[in-house]
Amino acid sequence: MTRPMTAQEPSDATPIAQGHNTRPKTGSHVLVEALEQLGVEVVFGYPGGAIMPIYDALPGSKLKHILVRHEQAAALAADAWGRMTGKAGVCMATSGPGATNLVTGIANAFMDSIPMVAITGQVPQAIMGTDGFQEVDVFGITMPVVKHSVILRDPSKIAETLAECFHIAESGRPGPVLIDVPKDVATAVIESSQPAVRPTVRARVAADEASVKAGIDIINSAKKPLLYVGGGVARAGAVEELRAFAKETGIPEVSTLQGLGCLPTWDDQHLGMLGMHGGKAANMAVQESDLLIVCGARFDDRATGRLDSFAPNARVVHLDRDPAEINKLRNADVGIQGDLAKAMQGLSAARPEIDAWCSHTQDEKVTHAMRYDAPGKGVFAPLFLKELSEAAGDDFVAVCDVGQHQMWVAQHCRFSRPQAHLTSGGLGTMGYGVPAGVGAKLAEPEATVVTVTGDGSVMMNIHELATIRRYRVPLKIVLFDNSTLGLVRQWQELFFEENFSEVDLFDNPDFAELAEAFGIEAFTVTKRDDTDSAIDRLLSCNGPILAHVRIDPMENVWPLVPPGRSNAEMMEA
Amino acid sequence: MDFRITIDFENDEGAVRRILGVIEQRGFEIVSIAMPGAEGTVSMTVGLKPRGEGRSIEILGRQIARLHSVQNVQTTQGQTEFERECA
Ligand SMILES: Cc1ncc(C[n+]2csc(CCOP(=O)(O)OP(=O)(O)O)c2C)c(N)n1
Repeated sequence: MTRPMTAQEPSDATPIAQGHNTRPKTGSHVLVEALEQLGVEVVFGYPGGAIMPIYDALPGSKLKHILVRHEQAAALAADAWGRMTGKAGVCMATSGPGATNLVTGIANAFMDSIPMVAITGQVPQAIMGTDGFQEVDVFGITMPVVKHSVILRDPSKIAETLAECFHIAESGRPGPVLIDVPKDVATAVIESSQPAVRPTVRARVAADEASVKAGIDIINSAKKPLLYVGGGVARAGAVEELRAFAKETGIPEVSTLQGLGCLPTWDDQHLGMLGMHGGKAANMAVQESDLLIVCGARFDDRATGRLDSFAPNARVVHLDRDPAEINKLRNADVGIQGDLAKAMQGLSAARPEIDAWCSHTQDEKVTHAMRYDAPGKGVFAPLFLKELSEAAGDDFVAVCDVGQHQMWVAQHCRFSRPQAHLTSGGLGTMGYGVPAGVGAKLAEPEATVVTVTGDGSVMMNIHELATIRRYRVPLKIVLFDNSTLGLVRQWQELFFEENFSEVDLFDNPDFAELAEAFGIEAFTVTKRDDTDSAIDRLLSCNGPILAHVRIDPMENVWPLVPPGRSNAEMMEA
Repeated sequence: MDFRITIDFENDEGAVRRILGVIEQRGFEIVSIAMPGAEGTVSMTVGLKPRGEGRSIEILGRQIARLHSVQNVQTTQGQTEFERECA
């Protein structure tokens, strides 16, 4: 039973006692003002010693602070905010353990090129380097997983530094930026300060004309060209240009996990996701193609399988904002560095003659379409997800955790846009789903945001059910419970001779009861026949709701390219 | 084969650590470092050995060039064009 909320409980961000008005303005006030001036609406965080001065400056500001129950959740929610809006999501935490708890979320944003600003409290500068209480070198710890970082040492430069950090996080190839704020800077009395103004954004830099021309020539000479689309397209705001290019040229497309939704998944030209759990039509098209037009993708090993046998007959045109990605893993015949939208516009003049190739790829798509006629009467997760996403329509946003269920979402859901699919791709962070669902729903309240999680993943940030309840975030959660760490179990079955080691979660709590204990409506589904009514109940609920869906522990994700093998060697059910 | 890479950069806090971190993390062993002391923009020359096959000094140069404090990178295989990131 759902525990009712009592009058004493906070229903929104709790205002802390006002009263700083009579106190002198400090670095913390300047920092909070700067966040407001930079357009920040929501900050995800958790207080503690070194960051208390900044928390002291929050009440009365225009910022909505979301008090999470673990700092990792703050960073993951900020990551989701960044994915939904293209603007830096903001998280903050205290020094020491607060800061180290942010690290996974920062790394998650780094791996998927997501704009984020993480603010950490730090011990006073005079204590730094002396092993002070809750002192860790978070500046050093995070260095490999940030786009940039600063220790904000000068109280007179707070606004300026924040503006620059937001600019760095959001521009070019986006990424997380860490701002470590020593306590003496946060408490410094500030007589006067300049407003935070972002550096002027330069006009989009057109890609080099000669390489665009070379790209057009190579596309025109191709007989079997294929678009290979990654997350960089959405990050660069080039979705419309990509769609226009695809329509003008008729070239079929495959996408990475991060690229899903760049072309609507129901578009004829979209052949599916490529890679380890990609569709057969998509992987075969890559292997057969004579030209890959790689847009904002980075030849990740999960997408390419064994690299030396990936697309063996294809020349490569590689478009990327980041020159460090071109030729990194596969040499490009034509590398086009610069703004993706402009580059796609330029390439749209190409007119390859590819009718035979298009009809061949369409035939393959039909031949190798996913099947939903699973035996038995239990819930079949792929079908459940397909029907859920279709029923939710264009407003659907799936926020995945990590495991088999994540792959089923990618394979079977309908996505109208890249923001309809939030998934921890590069880092594969179990625990992403619930906090990121919160971030996504707050970023886009009108969207039908559904966190899809597993019984392993959900436990990594289960405490965030309390955040959902506290702010009444109307997030829908579908928890596929196979009482096992399914993806690991599947690999042990297939590649470790069924030596099942430490994957059994037989002693899970009753998830519906657990959700109810947090004050969230919940129900359990066990039969396939109940799929429709479960989806109706999920979609018609106005508040937060969790569907605990029991599935067969032995269900596997198909197809599958075994690790280290060519994408041509797919295993099927 | 040994390589040399010369990096001009703004000597902000952490810049040296960051550059050396990228070099090591991207699969190169640092065999020598020369950095004449200076404030503001400084130049550092690093001697490197790749760890194993398939490490490209050219790609490393571009990975260093995308660090915010870095202004120019020259490798033994030519200059990496660097443009400070803007939208
Ligand atoms: C933080 C973290 N720890 C470990 C892993 C390795 N891992 C990947 S998938 C997986 C199992 C996930 O289980 P569950 O959430 O129940 O999803 P299922 O595969 O059963 O759908 C594990 C342990 C990871 N990706 N992230």
